[in-house]
Amino acid sequence: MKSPPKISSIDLSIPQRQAPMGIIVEIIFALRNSMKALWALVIYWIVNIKKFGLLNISLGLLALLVVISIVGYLMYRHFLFYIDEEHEEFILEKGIFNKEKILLQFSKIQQVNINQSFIQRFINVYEVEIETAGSAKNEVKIKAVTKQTAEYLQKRLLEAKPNQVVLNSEDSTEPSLHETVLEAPIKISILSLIKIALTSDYIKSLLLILAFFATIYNNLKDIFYKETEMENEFVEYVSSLSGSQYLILIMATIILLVVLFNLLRFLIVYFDFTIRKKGQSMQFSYGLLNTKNTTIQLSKVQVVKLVTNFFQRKLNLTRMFISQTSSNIHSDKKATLQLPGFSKEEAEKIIQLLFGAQPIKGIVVKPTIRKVFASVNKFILVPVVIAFVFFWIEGSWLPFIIGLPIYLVIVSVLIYFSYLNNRLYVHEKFIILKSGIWDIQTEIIEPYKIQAITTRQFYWHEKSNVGHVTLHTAGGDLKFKFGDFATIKKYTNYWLYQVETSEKEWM
Amino acid sequence: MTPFTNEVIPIENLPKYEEAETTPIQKKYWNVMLLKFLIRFLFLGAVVTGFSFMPEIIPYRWFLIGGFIIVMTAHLMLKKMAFHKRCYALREMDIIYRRGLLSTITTLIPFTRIQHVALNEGFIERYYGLAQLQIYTAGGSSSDLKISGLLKADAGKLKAAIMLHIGKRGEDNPINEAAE
Repeated sequence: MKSPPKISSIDLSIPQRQAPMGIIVEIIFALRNSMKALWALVIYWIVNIKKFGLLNISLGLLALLVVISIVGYLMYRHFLFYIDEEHEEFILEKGIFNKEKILLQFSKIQQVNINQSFIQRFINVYEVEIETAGSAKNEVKIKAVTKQTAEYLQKRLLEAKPNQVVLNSEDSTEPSLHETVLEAPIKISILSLIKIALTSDYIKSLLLILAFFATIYNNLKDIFYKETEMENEFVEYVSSLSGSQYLILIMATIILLVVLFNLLRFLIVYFDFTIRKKGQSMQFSYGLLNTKNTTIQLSKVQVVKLVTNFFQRKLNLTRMFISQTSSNIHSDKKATLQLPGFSKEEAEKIIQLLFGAQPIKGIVVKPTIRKVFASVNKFILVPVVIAFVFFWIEGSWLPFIIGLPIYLVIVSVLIYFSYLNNRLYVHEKFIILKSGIWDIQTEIIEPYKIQAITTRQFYWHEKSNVGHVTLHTAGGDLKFKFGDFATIKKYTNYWLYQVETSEKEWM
Repeated sequence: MTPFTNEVIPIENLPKYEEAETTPIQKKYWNVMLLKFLIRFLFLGAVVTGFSFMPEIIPYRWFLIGGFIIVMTAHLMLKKMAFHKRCYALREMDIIYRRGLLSTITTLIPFTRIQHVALNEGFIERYYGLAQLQIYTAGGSSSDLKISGLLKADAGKLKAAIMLHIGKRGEDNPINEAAE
């Protein structure tokens, strides 16, 4: 047998199979996939053990296992991946009967994740997941490779220039990938994770729990369709309680479940969240049971967005989103990397790594009072007139008289905050846009990453000299509305000047 | 090494995009728009006329047809007014396109940020010797430009001028048409 390959001796231009242990992973995956379809049948067999006989059932299970193992083995045999150096493409072939060939251009690759599920960790193999810009329908996953291969792939696919990985290890004047872990890794404290778990994403947890119980319930109902008596007992017991007791019981259970589940989910998924900067890329690794390792290229980062709300601000917490270059940012969700919450200090450190400096809030540009007028028109004048006409026709004034002041107070407060929170900061090196009512978002870009600028002025705003501006970047648009148009024009000229004289590559 | 200078650049003295001299698009493009409008008018008109024969609608048919004609006429008038607003300018470093009636929309694209340029000739446009210049950036569909109503020769020149600017960077660009 050959000695285990070193990084420099990995040659991916030749079609490769996964690591030998990949057979086991493929079998387990095949087993898991078929269990989704077959578990009801298996339980049916076991429940009716007397009817079929133990031997028959054992044989049946064994036959199933053998078939699945063969399928898993064939999947392993037919799974090949390699790199086409000439065309700078990563190629993956798979499928037993339906052959599938996936070609990925290096330039389209957005991030490469190295993950390890519980099983993979147990047999010491790694999963490589490749995410691309544009239509991300094809999931590209290599389920079992050695650590060396995984890390080599990650580097090779993200460094678009050929031979750079090899060159770096020889050329001592260039900073090598192995040496450039300059900054100390940033670790996110458990406290931050607990805080974020307690303040966000409840809807997702709720839906997950509901989906889980719905599946279980449906499947069990199919098998034990006779045992509807049990269901009736439960219904009888519940209906013996009074209406309010029933409601409180259900609500309390759901709330407790969701909070606990949310907390556990965050702690397990984001356990030991660590951020490292390696050369020109940034690595996020996390996870307790399943470890994830996501690497993005710093040059592809376009917009960094920080989001926080009243409660989270009080808890010293902020969420972060990193938008990367994408051919279609509006439909491509994978282009935006969503990170869990951080404390202010942690967020500052990450931003330092992303930009190499702390963003500076430059000259502040406020929206004009026209923003308030526009909101008043849209959310007060028009709805109130419609409501007025409606109640006038109905002839009942009481709801209108009671509802109007409440509505006015709420909407006025919202409009006031949307005005107060909307600010544009112009600095030589950063453009920062703040907006929002409850969730306040701060979007940060560097001027040379602007792709195009659109200014817009309605003709009824000409006299008061008010206008809008949109900064188009490869990671989404930044819109600032109802600004003083002379100021907007001034900065538009300035930004154009910056883009046109910048020597930095935007990507 | 070039001598290092770091003078303060007064923003007020930078070239102003709003004062750039713009060129309106070709007048005869209005004929193209008119023809396209007529086709749409006839098609929708046929649908509306068809509807007006339904028994429930017969009492209101003249309201329906009258309303349709009024809406389409207003639409055409707005189109005509907006048509005169369309203009573009090519500066040394960027391209400017301005349009819009209710709101004046100005899109500015620096040449260094253009991904690719294309010419498009529709069936009717070709008859009039016109072409559409399409400019694509990495900023997504919201920042792509489509300038209609250019003389084909002009559009070709514009494209060549832009390609020249892209070409300067394009030397180390693997995606180069010349390389194929």
